[in-house]
Amino acid sequence: MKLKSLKLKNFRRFYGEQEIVFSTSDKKKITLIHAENGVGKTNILRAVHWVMYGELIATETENTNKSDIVNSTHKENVKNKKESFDCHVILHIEDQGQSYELKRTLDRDGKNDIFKIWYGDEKSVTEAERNLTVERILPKGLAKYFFFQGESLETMTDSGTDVGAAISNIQGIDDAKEVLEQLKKNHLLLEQKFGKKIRLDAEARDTKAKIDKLRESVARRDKALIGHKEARDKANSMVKDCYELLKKSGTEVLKIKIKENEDKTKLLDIKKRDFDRHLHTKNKSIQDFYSGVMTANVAAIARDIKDDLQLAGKFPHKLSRDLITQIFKDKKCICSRCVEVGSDEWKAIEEWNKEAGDPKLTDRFSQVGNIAQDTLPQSKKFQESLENHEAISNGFETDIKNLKEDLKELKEFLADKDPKKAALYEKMVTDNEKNRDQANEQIELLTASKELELKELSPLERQYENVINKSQIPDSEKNEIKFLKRAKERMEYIIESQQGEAENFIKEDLQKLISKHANKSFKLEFDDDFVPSLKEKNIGDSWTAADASMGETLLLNIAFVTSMIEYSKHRKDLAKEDKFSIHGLEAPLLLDAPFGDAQTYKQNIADILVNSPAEQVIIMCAKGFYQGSFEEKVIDQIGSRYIVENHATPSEMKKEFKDGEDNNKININGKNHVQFFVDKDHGWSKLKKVNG
Amino acid sequence: MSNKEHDIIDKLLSELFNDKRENALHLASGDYKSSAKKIITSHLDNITDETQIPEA
Repeated sequence: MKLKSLKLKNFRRFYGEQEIVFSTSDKKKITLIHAENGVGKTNILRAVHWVMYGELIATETENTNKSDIVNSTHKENVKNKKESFDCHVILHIEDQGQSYELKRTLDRDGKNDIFKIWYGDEKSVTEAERNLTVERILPKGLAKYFFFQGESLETMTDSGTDVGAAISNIQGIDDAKEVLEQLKKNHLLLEQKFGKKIRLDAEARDTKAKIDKLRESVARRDKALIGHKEARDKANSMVKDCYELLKKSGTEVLKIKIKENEDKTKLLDIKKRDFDRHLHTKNKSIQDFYSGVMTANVAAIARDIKDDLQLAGKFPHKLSRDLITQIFKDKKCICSRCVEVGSDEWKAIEEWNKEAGDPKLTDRFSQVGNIAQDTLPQSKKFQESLENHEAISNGFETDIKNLKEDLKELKEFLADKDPKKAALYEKMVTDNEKNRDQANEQIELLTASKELELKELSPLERQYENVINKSQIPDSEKNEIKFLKRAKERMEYIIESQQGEAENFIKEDLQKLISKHANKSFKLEFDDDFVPSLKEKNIGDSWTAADASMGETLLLNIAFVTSMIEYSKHRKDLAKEDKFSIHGLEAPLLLDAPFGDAQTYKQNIADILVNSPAEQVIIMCAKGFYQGSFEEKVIDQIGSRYIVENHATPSEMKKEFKDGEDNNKININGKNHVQFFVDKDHGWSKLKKVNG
Repeated sequence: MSNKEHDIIDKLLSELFNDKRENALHLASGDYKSSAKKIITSHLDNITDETQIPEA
């Protein structure tokens, strides 16, 4: 905000219409108003304050009321009907590219005033709106930080002053908080409207999350199942292939033959063993026959005959055997009674006797025959038994013979075959069968788990569908809720971070200013309300408050306000970037400055003002303060300059003016200007624009 | 949130903040609440997908 001009009409000491046009130049931002004490410095400040807030500032030395607003000369002229009553102040302001004209007019009886604002082609229509507009431009509570009233400057940052709140307001935090409230309200309204649906929506999201999790799990199992099924199929295929390989390479036949060989070898052993047993039984039977069934004598005789004949070389084996066979077979004797004379048998015996040359043989055979006759029944039985034995023996012999032949063939077959290869293929088949079984086991487990999950999934999906149908918030509202929530959170974050940032920034900046401009080494402290104070070090390392009469408090206060403005400017610069940043007030510094106690620091104060981030500085000061080091500092930045002359009516001018003429003049750019045309207890104030 | 993601929210806040200030000056032509609603709505019109709004 910048002050463009101020028009005073019959306001306090200013008789008639007076105007100040303030400098709005960026390079020459200072408007300097030279005014000696008592001619109206404070009235200019009062005029600005009154037109904006409708209140008249009282000072330590001067109480005011509304009736004191009207210029006394004008009052007199109105009373004498020389003039019509007219007392008003008009202030032109520029704020953020918008021009405003504020006009406050006092009514004739001096009790009420009329306040109007024009901006562009519009004007505020209600008192409340007008006041809001002014509050927006510069809140009344903050005016004292920008419109310094010299006499109360020292108390500006006294304890108890709500400096923290002022900082917050200057920064624009209060505006940001109002925006935040607006966002909160809108968000709350929507949440109330869709509250139940939002909760259902949250439930739907939770259910959906569970469903997704289960589906993922089922999908994982499906994937694993595919893997295991592939493994199983591969194993199966391997089993089949290896088996085919076994068959194709003859190893399967080999395997069969080996088995057959093993089986037949075992069977042969069994047959042999059984045959031995049988022969043993047979021999025992024969032995039993000879030793038991035939008498020992018969056996002895028969043996003797045989021996004899063999010794004599006259025992025709064939005949003898035929005879014996005949005897045992036909169960008859070979004696002359038993053998038909002339029969073939008879002829044979005769022949045999003749050959043997032993006629007694017949008798001896007869004896044997007789005995044999006696033992015929037993012989028959034995014969039968022997025949059975023979048949069995023949059977064994046949079997053994066949087995041996088979084994011989097998041996020949296996002679050039490799049983190790068969074992390898066999192992491959076994291994793959094992793999296949393991895969099948996993498939069963996974399928069971998947079934369980699918069972769990089904009711959840129904639940989700049910909830989602009830929860459906229109997308536009859903977006709005989310959008407002995010905006609310962001604004909360910005306010919180900026509040802390402001205090740190101001502390740091103020410390720099104090260190640079203070004549002594002060310690800067802040109380809980962020009210700054300077502490001076005493002998013995104790600290006491700085002496206000030495001007340190004035220095501190001007530096403090400068730091606050510096921070606002810093925020404004940040706001130029893309990111949102709360930017604060940009008000001019208006100093009604007798600076009585600040002589020590006037150069420093000038330095701070010249380098101030404030875009406009209006200084009202007396010659005594201005001349010298203060002037040197500010001269280059003066864009507009006025002298407040103490004027007089012609009648008053007649009075002899006796104040020292030397002190009455102020030299500006080598030219002397008279400030008093009458002593300050008379006349009125007049604004005179001067160059330079 | 990244700087880019802030844009959509920050633009809204900037407009609301400026609106708050300007409406204190132009109360004759409307109140703050309705103008704030208009600003919010105009921003929402540009949002077609929930994912355009940054997460916290």
